Amino acid sequence: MPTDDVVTTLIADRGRALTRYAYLLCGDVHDAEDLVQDALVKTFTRRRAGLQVDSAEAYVRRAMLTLYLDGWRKRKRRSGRWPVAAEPASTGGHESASADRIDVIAALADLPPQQRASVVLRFYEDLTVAEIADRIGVSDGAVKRYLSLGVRRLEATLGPIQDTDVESLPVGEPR
Amino acid sequence: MNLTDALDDAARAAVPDRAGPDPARVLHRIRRRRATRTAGYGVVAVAAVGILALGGSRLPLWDGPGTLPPAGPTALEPPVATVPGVECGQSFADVTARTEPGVALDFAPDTTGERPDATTTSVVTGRLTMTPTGSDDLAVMPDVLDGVGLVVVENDTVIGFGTMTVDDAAAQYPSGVAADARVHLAACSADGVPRGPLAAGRYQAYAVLPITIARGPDEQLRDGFVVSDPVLIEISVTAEPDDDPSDAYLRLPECGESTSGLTTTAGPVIGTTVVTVGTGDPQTGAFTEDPSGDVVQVRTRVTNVGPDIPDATSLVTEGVVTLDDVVVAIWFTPGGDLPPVDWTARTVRGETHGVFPLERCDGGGPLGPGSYTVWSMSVAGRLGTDDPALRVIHEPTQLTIDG
Repeated sequence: MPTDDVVTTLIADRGRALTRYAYLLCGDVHDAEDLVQDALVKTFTRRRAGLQVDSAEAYVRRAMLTLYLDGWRKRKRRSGRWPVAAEPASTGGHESASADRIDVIAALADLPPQQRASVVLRFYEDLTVAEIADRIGVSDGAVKRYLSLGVRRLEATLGPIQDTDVESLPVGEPR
Repeated sequence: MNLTDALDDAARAAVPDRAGPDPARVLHRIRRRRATRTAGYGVVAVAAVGILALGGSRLPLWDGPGTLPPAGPTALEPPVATVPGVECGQSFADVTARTEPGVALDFAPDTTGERPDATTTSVVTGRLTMTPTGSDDLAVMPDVLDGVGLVVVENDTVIGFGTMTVDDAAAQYPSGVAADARVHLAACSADGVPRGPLAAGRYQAYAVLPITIARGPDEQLRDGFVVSDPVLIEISVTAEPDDDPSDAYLRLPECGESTSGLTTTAGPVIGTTVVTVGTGDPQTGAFTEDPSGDVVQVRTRVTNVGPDIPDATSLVTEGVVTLDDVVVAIWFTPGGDLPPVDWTARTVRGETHGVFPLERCDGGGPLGPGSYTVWSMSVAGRLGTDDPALRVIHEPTQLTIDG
């Protein structure tokens, strides 16, 4: 499949999922859309022969994480364009459910990027500690530290969180 | 609370049925980036980094007042910059001789193994802390960590730098500030610029913060540095192909980004670009000057001031149109497939690139009335090389469209 077709198909089929993942990293829908777009550009600027949609998505997700951890949002803010506040959920549901969404996004916003990324990769993407370590480029121990600190800070805001005993997490297999 | 359910619920609520990015816009940006990076990049070797901490003596105390200016890099600079006041090849003893006590700076790296997705620079993460050790009335604010850089030293000579990206969520404690940091490391090149990876081996590095010692807001006493204990950097893996070398080089800002920090650059090549807005047909090259049009005619004239550039590839020029220092439209020339030529010193390559669509960032039609600034960058590549000095940003020009 030609590269441009891979890009078009990837956006059509997986654009929403990628934007959701980006939203949990960024906390703002518009930032999330820009992060996805920047990652697509970064990934496909180099022509990648034989790349299919599935493998392309893995590249894009890795690029999104790298951009995010490398201070992408911070640099964007310095450029004078971006709002700082996290955007609350804009639609739907019962009042308490909406409040929970705002709470969890606001609580995530208080985490440093490496902790936030570790939490999202573990609890949203369901990656193992070893997989997170590979993605972020740190040791397994550092990931456990990020998760432990991150969960502790989230619990300070959100109250007890179920099933988050970081020390007992398997390193090599998903839960 | 079930965190997995809460995250999933929050993501679904915020992004209910959005289709994601506009494919046409993404493809345009990809083509634009490809055009400016195909002018002769080679594969850039990288290295993964392992870290061992060394012990070292604490800095002596300092009891004077101080101001600690933030001085972080911007998105428009290459990813690795020097620390202000410290140069490639300089004796590090010159830096430590100007060390200001009163603030302790520490960088505690996480041990980092191989990194399959390494970029053009070596990367290491760690914890950066800064603590006042002398005067009680010295306040250390989180922003100050933005100004810290890593200096790589061998035999007392500065041989590389690391640019730190510090978390937004730096923690402020009564005793100081702390934040997770991510450091991109690069070795000094022959022309004194930190560029490319450090070779395999072990190096000593120091976290360094340039500071200005002042008495009140108007009386600057001297410049100095806060220097950490030494850290040993071990380059343990070498030579992985780079994922996207274009990120390491000079580029123009994208749609919506600011040009406030953008400056004209010069290298072995210097040039001018004349951009005229009009109506016409990019396919046939037909063009009529008209400020309300939606195409641009681009004429670029670039001189090689020396030395000779063998195997020079086709010239590529891209540009951005800004309003109030923010990019509102972009254009680029896709470049040609002409065979490489030897570009002799002190000769001119005047290339009329033709007529190209002017794409407004908001997807609209022609630019409206206003006073615009046009920035352009030419990329004069060399086959099989990745010399960023051949990317130059020209003097901006003004474009006024009357109402």
